[in-house]
Amino acid sequence: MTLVRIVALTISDDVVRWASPGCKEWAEGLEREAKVIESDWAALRWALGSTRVLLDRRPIPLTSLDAVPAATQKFVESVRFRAGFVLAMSIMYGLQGLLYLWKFCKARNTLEFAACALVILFSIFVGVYSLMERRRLNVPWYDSIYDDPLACTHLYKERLKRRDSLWIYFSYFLCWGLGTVMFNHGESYDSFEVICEVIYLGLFFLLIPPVMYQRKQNNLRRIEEIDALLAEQPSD
Amino acid sequence: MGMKMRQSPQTALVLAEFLSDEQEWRYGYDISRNTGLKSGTLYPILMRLAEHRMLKTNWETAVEGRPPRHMYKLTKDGLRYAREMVSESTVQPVGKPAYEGVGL
Repeated sequence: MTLVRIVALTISDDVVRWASPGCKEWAEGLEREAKVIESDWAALRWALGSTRVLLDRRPIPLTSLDAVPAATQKFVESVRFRAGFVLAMSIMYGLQGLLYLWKFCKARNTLEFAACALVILFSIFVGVYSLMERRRLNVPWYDSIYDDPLACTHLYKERLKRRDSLWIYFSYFLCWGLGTVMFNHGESYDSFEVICEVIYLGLFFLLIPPVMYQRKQNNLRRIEEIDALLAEQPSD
Repeated sequence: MGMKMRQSPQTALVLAEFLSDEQEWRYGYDISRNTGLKSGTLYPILMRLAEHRMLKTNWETAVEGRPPRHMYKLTKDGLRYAREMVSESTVQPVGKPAYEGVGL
């Protein structure tokens, strides 16, 4: 076996290994095709193309109502975890606000004042929002619901339809990052350093839209699967 | 709030390829060769079609010495959609195959 072929097969195997649960079957299909391509270079090109599957992160599709309780349970666990995380974040925002309030009192120029004001205002906003969000997330869930797939399905769908508030937290980190950059460079302004830090921040935030888009797509996909399953149910 | 099926020229190409023999199960690599689409373009299209229940998938029966391959075929809804879409668009097969040579 040539080195090119080995590389192609290794890539294909890794794509199968790292593919998301909902794309596993497709990744395996791609891998099998790579094995039957005669030309080594063509197999390598095929394998390289197959890595695109790794960008698609989706859960296993729901094919029957019986699978819904397990999916709902997993979803509920993630919501509970998020509620705890949001509480921790609201505490962090409070502390961050206090820290910048202290910095505000010691600010020496307009840029430092502006930086502190930005972080303080956003800390207050996101802190309050987090507390409200936690209340919203902590809707009581009772375990007996998992015994009734149909009720579970309706509940799951209702939860999936709720809007995603992740962008608020990302916005906070953006403001906090900008505030920090502005504060650190308030006195000794070095444009090159500022540009570098803003570029780092920008690169980090470039990752956010794809993550949010993927989450939204997965939710829409789930809702469609649920609708299809519900449509298959005999009406009373 | 449904997800829409993207009507790209590449999707039309893939659908036209399926229409060339509606009853036959197709391999991904064969579709790729006939349409000139690369794996990274073809598979998202196939996945999208399957997601909209327009494509069914199956693993072929194992043949000795060769692992089973994944096969694809349009569903009734898929065939209907394909006929509509292909008749609307001017589908021109890509001349040069994406990959050459397949060992069976």
